[in-house]
Amino acid sequence: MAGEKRSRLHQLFKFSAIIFVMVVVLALLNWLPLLLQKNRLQRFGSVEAARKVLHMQTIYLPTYIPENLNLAWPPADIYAQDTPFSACIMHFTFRDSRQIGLMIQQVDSKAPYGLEPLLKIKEKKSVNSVTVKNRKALLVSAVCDQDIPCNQLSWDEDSTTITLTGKIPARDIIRIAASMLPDK
Amino acid sequence: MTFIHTVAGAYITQSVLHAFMALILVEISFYAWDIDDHLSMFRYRILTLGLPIIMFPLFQVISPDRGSWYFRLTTALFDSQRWLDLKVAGIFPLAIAFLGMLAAFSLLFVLQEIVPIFWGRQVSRGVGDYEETHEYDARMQALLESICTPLRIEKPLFLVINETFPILFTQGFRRHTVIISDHLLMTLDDEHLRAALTHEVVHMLRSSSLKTPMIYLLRMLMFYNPVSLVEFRRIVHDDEFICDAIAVSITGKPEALITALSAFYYHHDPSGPDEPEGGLSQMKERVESHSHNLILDERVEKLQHALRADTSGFRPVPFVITASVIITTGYLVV
Repeated sequence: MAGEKRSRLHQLFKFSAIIFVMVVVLALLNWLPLLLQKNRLQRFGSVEAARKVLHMQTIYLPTYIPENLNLAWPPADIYAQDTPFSACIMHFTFRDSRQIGLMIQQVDSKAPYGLEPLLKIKEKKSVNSVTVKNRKALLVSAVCDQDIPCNQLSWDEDSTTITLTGKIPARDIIRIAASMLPDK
Repeated sequence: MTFIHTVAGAYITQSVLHAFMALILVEISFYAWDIDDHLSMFRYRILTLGLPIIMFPLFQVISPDRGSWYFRLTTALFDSQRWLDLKVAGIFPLAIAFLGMLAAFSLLFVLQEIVPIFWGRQVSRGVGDYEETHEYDARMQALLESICTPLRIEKPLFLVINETFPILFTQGFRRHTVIISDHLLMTLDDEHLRAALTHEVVHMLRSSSLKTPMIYLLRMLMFYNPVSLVEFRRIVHDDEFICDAIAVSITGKPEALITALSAFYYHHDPSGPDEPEGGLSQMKERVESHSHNLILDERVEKLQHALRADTSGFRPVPFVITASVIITTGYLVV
């Protein structure tokens, strides 16, 4: 009986060990394409690192974030790619929680498909045209996940579509957007 | 956006990957849990064939964001799109090669499994059905009676056909019919024939004629999947091994079944077909004969060890652990 129990435990150990090896092999196989093609979508520790690895000419960054919004600086997550099209996504979280408060997405205007945002609009309430530093932009007031009111502002800057989505007031999202742009 | 980025493309890609993962995990299980009996193998292989069909839609229902770039980047253990989007020499995407491979397997499925169905129908319409013979009816009645009465089961119907090849199989779902060629009745004596018929009765008891089409349906749903092609055949062979083992446990005479099986070996006849030696159809026939004989060899070898072998038997705990690992890794492979 004890021998059989020991044998069963040995089998379980053998199974677990092989599964562990298999998981390591899978992780290696998942990492290998990034080694072969460095400009695929990946996470970066800083905007500078993304610029350096992907040779991105322009990453639009806000120079002003209202203090009262309680958003942490620098962005909590930065994801960027240069292949199959140029894209950069930044997540700014609230200081008191890990929840995303603002998301800045800049994607090649000719991209064949979009990158589904993490901050999703559940229901649009109103759509208005606004001007941000002489650029025509579209402001969407909406309800996001967990029924939290949110706003989205998007416009085309050269050959890039910039989209800001945040659980913050419309006035603040316009101010943040303006701080990202040079005068025109 | 290419085909592999669509929902249909993701389903096809992931079902192949999940089947491949399941195949590896099942083989690991056989080794780790010391599984050597075909009943257990049969059940484990059903996981390889069945789970990949339902895993993708199931995961999408549980977690609709599973296909998103965020999940692929932060949670997934393996992201197939990283490989499929790679371009060989900067021009040729690997996705094309992958889809080409699946197209080749789909074509193989059509040529190997669909065309013969229609071809067989045409031939049987043209030539007519097998001729029946009744001279062995009394012997068949007596043999089936001797097998079914101790097992307290209804005696199946039988049909003896006039054919120079060894033919023996069971058909029908509720009322089974054993089809046997008179060649076998002439070749085998009562003891050997009883062993062979017991094997067929076991098929009947295991409802193989119902199970096999259902398993084939799973294989058909994954017509493009090379893993399903291999696993379907292995499952069918496992069923034969299971029936052999049960038949021997009933008769207690493995030697009798070995002799009966020996009657089923294919012997290549070069003077047979019209096609010249080395022609395509002769080569195909030789390959098929060889693989058929190899399976018979394996069955004979198993039967030779039948009485002294200590088989592990089906254990549900390792089975559940293996199924859980297949599902969990499947979730993380996108």
